[in-house]
Amino acid sequence: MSHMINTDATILNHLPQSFQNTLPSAVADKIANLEAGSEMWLLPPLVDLCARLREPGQQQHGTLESEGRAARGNGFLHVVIPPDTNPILENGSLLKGLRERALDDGGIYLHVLGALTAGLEGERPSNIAGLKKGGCIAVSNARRPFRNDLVLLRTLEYAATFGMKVFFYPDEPSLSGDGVAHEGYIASYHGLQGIPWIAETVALSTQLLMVEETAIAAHFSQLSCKSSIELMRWAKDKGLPVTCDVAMHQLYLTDDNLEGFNAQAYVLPPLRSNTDQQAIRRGLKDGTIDAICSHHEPLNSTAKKAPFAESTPGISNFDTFMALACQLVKDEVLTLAQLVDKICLNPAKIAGISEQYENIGGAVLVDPNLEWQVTSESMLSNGKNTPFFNQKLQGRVVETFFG
Amino acid sequence: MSNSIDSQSIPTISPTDYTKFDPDTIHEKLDASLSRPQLNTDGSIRHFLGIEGLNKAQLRAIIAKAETFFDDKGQLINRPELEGYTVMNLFFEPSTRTRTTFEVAEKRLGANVLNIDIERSSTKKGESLRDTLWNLQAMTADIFVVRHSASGAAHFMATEVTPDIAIINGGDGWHAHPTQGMLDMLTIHREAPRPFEELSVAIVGDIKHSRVARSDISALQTLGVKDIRVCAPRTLLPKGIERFGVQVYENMNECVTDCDVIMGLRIQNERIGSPLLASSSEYYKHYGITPERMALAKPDAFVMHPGPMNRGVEIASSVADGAQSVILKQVNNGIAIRMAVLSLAMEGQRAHQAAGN
Repeated sequence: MSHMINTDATILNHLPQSFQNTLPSAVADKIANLEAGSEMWLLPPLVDLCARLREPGQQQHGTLESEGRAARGNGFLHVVIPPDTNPILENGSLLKGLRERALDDGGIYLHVLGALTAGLEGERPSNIAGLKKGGCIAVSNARRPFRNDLVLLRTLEYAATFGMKVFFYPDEPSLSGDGVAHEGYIASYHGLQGIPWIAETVALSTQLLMVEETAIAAHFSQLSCKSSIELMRWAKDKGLPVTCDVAMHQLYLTDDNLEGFNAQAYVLPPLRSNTDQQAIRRGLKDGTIDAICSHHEPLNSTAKKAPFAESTPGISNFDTFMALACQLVKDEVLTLAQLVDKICLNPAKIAGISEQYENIGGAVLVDPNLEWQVTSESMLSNGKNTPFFNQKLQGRVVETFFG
Repeated sequence: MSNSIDSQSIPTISPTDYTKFDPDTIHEKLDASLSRPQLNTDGSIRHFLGIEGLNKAQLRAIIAKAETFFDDKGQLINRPELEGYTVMNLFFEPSTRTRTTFEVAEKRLGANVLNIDIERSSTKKGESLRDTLWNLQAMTADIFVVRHSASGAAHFMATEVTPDIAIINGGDGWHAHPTQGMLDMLTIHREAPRPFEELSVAIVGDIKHSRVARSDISALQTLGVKDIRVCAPRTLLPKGIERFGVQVYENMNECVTDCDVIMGLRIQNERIGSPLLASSSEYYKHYGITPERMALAKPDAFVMHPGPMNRGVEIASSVADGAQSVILKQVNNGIAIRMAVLSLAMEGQRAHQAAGN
């Protein structure tokens, strides 16, 4: 690629060869015009394993157009959405229409998790064969419960029949109850109802054993607890067909950020303790955690205007994702090559879209040292709900290129 | 162009505040975060939302102000400091005792008082708390006394109301009941033979779900009590309670031994027979405030309770009605404290407005 360069800019190029072969000429033009002395990262497009774009059913918070624009502007060309929309994603033609509109209006490739159980009610399997035919990459019950463990077991067996992967968001509702914050000192200090870490790990343990029994391929998303990482380590050592991710904000925020009833830090699963955060950072580094998702949940301006527990959980994460990713490299949690694995290549493999991903190609140019302030104007997402609001961060996507 | 990252080429910048946890400063940070809306720039009280973030002098000032509402014979006096002002009591959850004592305090100060039973009105029709609040402030008032089932509701309201309104927290969720906390401090101040710094105080009962316990612990610490003990079965203790700066006991006899003050907390009936408590009789046997347990405390010890009491569950009738009980004095002191807080908050509001805010 040296023919592109006519400046003294340092380009840390982490594009796999297959992406370099189809690199659009606009990339070369952009790089040629970089300021001398600047340092840039050239990465493959980002793949997000869990974001909520708020369509269908919650357009007051965001739309395929607004959140697609935010995703693309922040480096995500491929986005996986869970099925708990309104209506629930359990209809092949609905999925097809959504995917088309996401590309036409939002400029992104949408990948859909279909409902694992009918209506996500945890009573019986959905039409999984039909969903597969409609283009679902996997099925999931989101964070909704199953009526009992037998339903879960039989539903997994049914999904396995059609070779469908299952995405889990482990939560045992009888333990998480009406909780709104990590059960610990910070929640106690504020008088907020806690969610114990075992609400996640009890569910995860059950689900891992079911995976072992059914041999179904499974992905576990948004893990937040130290013990969850230990359980995943056990499952991988045992050779189970499992992968997992964590949300980017869990790597930089803890329950300390709830101080003063900060509803902007209200998210489910909740921000956990410093001990949990250190454990998931270690799990990321040693490869137990395969990927980092955005867990982007944009909300309108009134959703957080209520007492903490009565506000709507969620953080708008697309816009701050790359700054935190850059910080992971600067903090030496990951090398840049490892980061590319966690936010680009591994998510594509987990979503089962690697071939399409490579064929589409594209590139993302990142300035890891660009300092910017998180404001309404600087955020592309409709949702301005972030605990980083008004903070200065370093690192941002300069441009996202289509292949 | 380089194909691999050279970590030396990327300067390590200081991580943001979000990445660091410092156990030595977390208390100060939390206290500061909760004091933010309630103090004027000069440190005077503008809203009264919680004990956290207030210093010893501020708590002493509330106690001293409350004392001015007693005459030489110890009787409460009327003083029309709020004449011409309007106070709205906004109770989003039911309360008899707290609302009544606030109303008495407001009338003794000469305020125009409006009791608005919101539990059965707008919010039941789906109106958001913010809209309800904005509608009420459009009707013009000077002080909102607020009780709400959500922790942090008073803090939220303090950030939403116009600058000419003061918010007094009449209890929010499990978080705080600061006027109860201060009336407890006034009671200890008046009844204890020793200063706060020399006292041993035991708080027994449902600590986990008690806003009173959180406010009491915070006030006792701020006023210098070094020996604060809490006692309950583990199901009624909040996670991380030891980090509140208290000694945790599961054995009631050990907890009350040599104590100066025993503060009982109410056990709600729905907790009994739930996964939290087996039965009222077992609770009473192990955690009830009985004459035998009072005998383990110092001879001049006294017992307190915020009410309403479950006799025979958390306290024996003979103790509740006995010579060592100051429970009815607490009720009387509650009026003085609420008069003091209303008066100070109104002063703070005037100062805030005079400063051009």
